[in-house]
Amino acid sequence: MGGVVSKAQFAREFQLRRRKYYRIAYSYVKNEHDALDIVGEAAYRGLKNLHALRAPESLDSWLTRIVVNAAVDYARGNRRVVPCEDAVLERAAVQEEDLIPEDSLDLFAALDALSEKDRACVILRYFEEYSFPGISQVLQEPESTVKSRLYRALRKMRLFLEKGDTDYERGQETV
Amino acid sequence: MNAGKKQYEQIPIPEELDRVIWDSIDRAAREARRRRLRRWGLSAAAVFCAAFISANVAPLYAYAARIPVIGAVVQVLHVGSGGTRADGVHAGAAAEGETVEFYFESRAGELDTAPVYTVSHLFAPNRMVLTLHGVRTIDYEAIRESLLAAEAVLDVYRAMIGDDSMCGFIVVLNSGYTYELTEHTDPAGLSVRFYPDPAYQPEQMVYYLRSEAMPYGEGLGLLAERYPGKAAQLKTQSGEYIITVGQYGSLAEAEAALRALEETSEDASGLFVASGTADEVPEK
Repeated sequence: MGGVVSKAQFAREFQLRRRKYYRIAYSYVKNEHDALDIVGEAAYRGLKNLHALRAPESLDSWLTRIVVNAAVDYARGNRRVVPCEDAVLERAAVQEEDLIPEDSLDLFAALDALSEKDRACVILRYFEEYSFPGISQVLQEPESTVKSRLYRALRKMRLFLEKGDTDYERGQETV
Repeated sequence: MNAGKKQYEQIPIPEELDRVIWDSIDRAAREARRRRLRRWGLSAAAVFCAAFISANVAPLYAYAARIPVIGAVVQVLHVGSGGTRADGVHAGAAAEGETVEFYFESRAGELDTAPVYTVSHLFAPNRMVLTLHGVRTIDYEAIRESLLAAEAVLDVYRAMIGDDSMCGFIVVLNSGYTYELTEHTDPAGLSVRFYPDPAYQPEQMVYYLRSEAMPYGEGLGLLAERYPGKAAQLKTQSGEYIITVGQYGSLAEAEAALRALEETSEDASGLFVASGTADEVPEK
């Protein structure tokens, strides 16, 4: 049997949320041309794999994941600087207050310091105001992992902003 | 508000965003259609040859040789009409899961655009009525089998139409199902995809105008012709046929429609108001 969401419904829902998808894409590449490519690729992948979607109520989470994955693929294919990945995610319990960035922290400017998945956590949590379960659903990761990613991301972003782009990139691996 | 969030919300949205999304959706739809056509290409070639031989028309070319073909989506609709005027068209169909592809051919070869068609969605019972204009030969068994292969489809029968340049089908759907029809060009095609409708209301009452039941035959076609563009044919539980006109949400609306019809057509005297739930087939 075919999928539970029709092509027409898909097109309508994608168009409805196109601004959000575009902003997520833009946050990865910081230029209009590449962001448009990413959104276009996400629309293509989404419709091509629409038959795999089983729950119509998950359409937005599913599409957001496709946009994030398309952005990650694009960023990986085009980047010259790879942020350092921690070998293992933080194991320590993360407190809620640790995850609240102070107002002076310019999250948008500091996104570049993050790995692709950590970046998705920050965008969804602080820009799109997703709940932790919502991010967990989009990224298909446990909530504890999402919290650990955010904790680590905030630490890196603070460091990035304190030291400035140049000093920070000196410590990165170049490809 | 955090400075970063403010920057994020002020990211300008380019005007080309809509076009980029539609282009990508079209690309994915074209590729899906091309994959389907590849799969049924060989059997379609056999069908075309057989159909043209039986219709005393020389087979013009091996259809499969021209596959793959890429079609462009003209429109996706549920109720309405489309296509371009044509005549001498041959129609066939092939199924893949819950999608049925109608394809069109003429003496000159494969059509670029679908012939004129109309599609409507009626209830009591839940059914799709598809009428094709300018189509003189069809592979009815292939069409019927393709439609019945879909889980959504309960029954299929042909409308009695006196005009030999038209043909029509009544596709009775199982409860809770609906469909979308996609029109393609280059080559011409109509794809009907059936799927469950989460908003379906089986207990919803439907009111309509109907005729007395009669056997399947020319009389049925002639009666339907009295209400061009309005009448649909329907098989009753007893196996006889009726024509139905309109579909209304209340008895008062149906009665008003009957009065309006009687004022404009002296033949409307044989019609009366009937009703049923969304899936209900008239007994007789």
